[in-house]
Amino acid sequence: MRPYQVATAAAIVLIAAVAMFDSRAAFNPSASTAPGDVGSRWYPFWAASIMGVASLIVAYRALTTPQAIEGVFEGSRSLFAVLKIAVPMLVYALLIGGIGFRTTDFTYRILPPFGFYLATALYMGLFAWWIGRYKIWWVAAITVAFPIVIFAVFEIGFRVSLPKSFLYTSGLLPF
Amino acid sequence: MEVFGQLAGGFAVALHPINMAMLFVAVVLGLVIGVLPGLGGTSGVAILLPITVFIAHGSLPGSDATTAIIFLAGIYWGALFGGVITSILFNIPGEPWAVVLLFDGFPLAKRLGKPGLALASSFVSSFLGALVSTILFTFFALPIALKALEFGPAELFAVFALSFATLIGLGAEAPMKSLAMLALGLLLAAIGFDTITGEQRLNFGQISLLSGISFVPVTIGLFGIGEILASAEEQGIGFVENISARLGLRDVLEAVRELRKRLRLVLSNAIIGFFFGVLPGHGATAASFLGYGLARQYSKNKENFGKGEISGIMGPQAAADSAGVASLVPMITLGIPGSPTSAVIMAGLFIWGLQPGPVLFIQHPDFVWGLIASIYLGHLLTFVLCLLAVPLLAMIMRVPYAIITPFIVVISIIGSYSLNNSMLDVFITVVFGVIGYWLRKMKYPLAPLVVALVLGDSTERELRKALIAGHGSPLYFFNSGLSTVLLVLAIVLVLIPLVRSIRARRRGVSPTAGAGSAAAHP
Amino acid sequence: MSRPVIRTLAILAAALVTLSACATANAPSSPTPSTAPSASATLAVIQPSHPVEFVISTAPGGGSDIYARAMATIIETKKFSPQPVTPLNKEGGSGAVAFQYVYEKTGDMHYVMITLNSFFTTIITQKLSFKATDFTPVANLALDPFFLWVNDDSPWKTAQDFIAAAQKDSVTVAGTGTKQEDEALFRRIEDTMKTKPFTYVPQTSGATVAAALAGHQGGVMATVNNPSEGLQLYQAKKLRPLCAFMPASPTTAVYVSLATCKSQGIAIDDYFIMRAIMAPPGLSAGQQQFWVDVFKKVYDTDEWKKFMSDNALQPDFKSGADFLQFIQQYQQLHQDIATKFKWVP
Repeated sequence: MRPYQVATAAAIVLIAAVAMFDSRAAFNPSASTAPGDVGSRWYPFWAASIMGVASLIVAYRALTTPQAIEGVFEGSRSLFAVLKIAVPMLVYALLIGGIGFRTTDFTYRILPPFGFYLATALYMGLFAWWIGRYKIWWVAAITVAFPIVIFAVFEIGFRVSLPKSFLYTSGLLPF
Repeated sequence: MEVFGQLAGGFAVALHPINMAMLFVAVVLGLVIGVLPGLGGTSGVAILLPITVFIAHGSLPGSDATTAIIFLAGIYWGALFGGVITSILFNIPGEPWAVVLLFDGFPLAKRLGKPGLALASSFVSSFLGALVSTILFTFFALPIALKALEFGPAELFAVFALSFATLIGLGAEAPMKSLAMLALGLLLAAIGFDTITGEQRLNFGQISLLSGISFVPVTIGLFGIGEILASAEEQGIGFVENISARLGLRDVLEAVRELRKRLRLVLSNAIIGFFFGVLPGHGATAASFLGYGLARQYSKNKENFGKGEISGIMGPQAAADSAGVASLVPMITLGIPGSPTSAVIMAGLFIWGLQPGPVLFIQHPDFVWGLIASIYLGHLLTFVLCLLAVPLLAMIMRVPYAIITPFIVVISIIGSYSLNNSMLDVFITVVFGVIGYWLRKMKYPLAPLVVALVLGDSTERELRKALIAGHGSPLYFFNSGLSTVLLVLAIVLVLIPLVRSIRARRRGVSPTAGAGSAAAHP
Repeated sequence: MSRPVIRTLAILAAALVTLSACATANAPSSPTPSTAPSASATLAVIQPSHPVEFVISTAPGGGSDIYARAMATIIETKKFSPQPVTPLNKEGGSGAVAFQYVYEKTGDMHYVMITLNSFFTTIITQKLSFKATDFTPVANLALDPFFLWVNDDSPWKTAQDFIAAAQKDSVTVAGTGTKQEDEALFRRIEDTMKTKPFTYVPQTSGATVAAALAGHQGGVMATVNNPSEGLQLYQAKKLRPLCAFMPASPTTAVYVSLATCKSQGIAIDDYFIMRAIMAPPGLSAGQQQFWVDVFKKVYDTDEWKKFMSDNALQPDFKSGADFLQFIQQYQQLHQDIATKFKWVP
């Protein structure tokens, strides 16, 4: 446990350091600070410093007190079980919005946005097939049914717009 | 008394068939909206606003503006009840005020395997809270709303300080870790646009971060997604069901018994929630956290909190629902909305051609008293519907793993996206899901983080507004009797556990054994 | 990105805005009420092909949210648009988030946005990568006047009393946000009347500003709330308007006897909150004309007329060259205040 505890505390200290650097103007309130006000940086600066000091103490204690010997995961099976959920979830989120970056004059697309409905169909289908090991027609039914129900409730019923695919902007699909 | 006559007149209006029919439709819609992720009371009411124009202008036989407001308010009541359902069943807050139910509602449903009891406890306390609030609304609406106007920045800061003080000691087994998480919450709340100076901070030049990090996507990630990852690991991939499979209303009877044991807590929280709801701009979410803190403060078994304690459900629920009803008070009486949802309902009044305010009571008594009567009826209706649905809802927990797991991810993503229609929020949810999972593994308590994230922004704003108004003098906080009392109370609440732990240490028994590290854990 | 590219883009954008403005100016100023594409003989009006997002820069229930929802309700109930127009809140950063969002939809007519003066103030103070004039202007539907308000128990009976007190001591005032329209007006008063600098306490919304004044919260002595924001507390005898920052006394029944601030010695009568519609940069003249027509029809409905008079708004429809000129004038006015009071570091 020890290296993980120390690394986590160190990561929090790092975040605190970045935040304190960004808020270094705490002692030098800007011109827009009204008389009497402590300025916009005071609060984040002190929150970050409290966080940093508390995490340093956590790290120190983790180094000086006896720690359990085992690692964080009980064997590779449980790590794999977590990754099995985490990785598809990440891919799913990326599929919805697509991957790309924008300069002021052009948007570069590495992966076009699949939108919420196509991505959800793929994601739900994958789980039913891979984890659930359902028969293929059940997989197909889940793949089709969930997005359609969500579309009916959100887009038609409540007019809540969820992210659309690249085919929507070109007018090929209604979602 | 004059009030009873007016209230009777109100009931005559509210019991009119068309009004009852619309109230029924509204509470059902409200429940659905509350359960659906991302569709909160506020957006639900806003989405259905255009329809109310037809209702208000008599498109339905016998309908008028009173029918329209009964309809809109009914959606709100339904959402107040329904928002907690996903919190309890999936660890995903359906509404901001349901965030606090993640602390004890979900553990009771999942860890202790009693989803029916968790739901029923929430519903009975919601109902009682709303009832108390509606009675206060009926008799004291105007004087209380006028009194609430005097709550300046110093008093509001004192109220927030008191909320924080009641929550001190959340995650007491690791005080340094709790402190770090509390500070992280304050820091996350500070990201973006500083409303006092208009400066950007901690956004590193990103316009998309200007609106800050909203606590809804963060909590959906930390709790909902984090829980999915944790349970995947715990149970390998062979998911074991430990949910009690009882059907029927036995849970409801048990919840009523539990409520009777906590009657004093629920009633006092409902009254506090009412005053919180009347304060403009604060309302149900802040009230729910204060309600949780108070429930914990006055409980004999504090260590049960966070593990499925029923007081941890009933306390905040009574306060939140009471505040929800109360947020209509300043809107109707003074035209100052007490919550975002009541602000949208006020927009409705404008669109139907009515002006809220004291004149409304004189010019349109049918409207006002019809609304008040419909609050009683609406809650009764919602309550009965919810209780009947408990067994059905509890069954959701038995959906197969390969469907329920991706489904929870899907509704988490809908919930975080549709709050602000932003993909950034979706990534925040996913990233905080992983962070939450890891922090839990490293034995960092998440509750202080969430509390600070929700209350941090308003606390800072009121503090600095008070400093500006007081020209920088901290003595300004002790100018009014009310803020002095509240601040002293807050300080006492912070000091008591400190003194106790010092005394205990002198006696040689450390109440915080293993503090700061996970030494004792395997 | 290189500077020449930015310059070229800016020129292009400016050219587009001018072009579209010219096109609108040529179009007949009062479109016929029929729904067919008949607004102009020379201009082919282009209609949206899928649902439209009506972007609102405040939270649900906030100032312009109420106006936007009223407009959207009229568009929907009267079927002014062939495609649904759905309100969408993009709050944050005093409008910066919404402006950035719409700016990135360059050339897409399926987005329109309701704006108020933060459209100028926020873009000036927040170092955004675009200017107010980059957007395609659609129309202004109303002007929301400012009143000078005090608590009902205030010793000040007239605007002169207020000015005399403010010249002696710093008066604590409240308004919505920082470096926004309310503060701009107070700074203008400070500047024209040579008062002591006001202690300005920023609040989160117009309603909380009125509440702060009614409850003497934090010693607040005066505000410049809009008539609709103060109305209920005025009727509850908690607030009292001293004067109106308008060229002539208001016509709304409740306020009909209210003096103008100009007649009381505060020479400001040209400052209002606009309730205007903007579209993403780079719409074609035909696309722009579609939205001008839609909002002109909204403006002409009895519902909107009643809404305006209920909320003491000043009816004021501007599109085309008039509107463009108005935008430039307000841009300059806010730029001057920002420079004078060092709002931009």
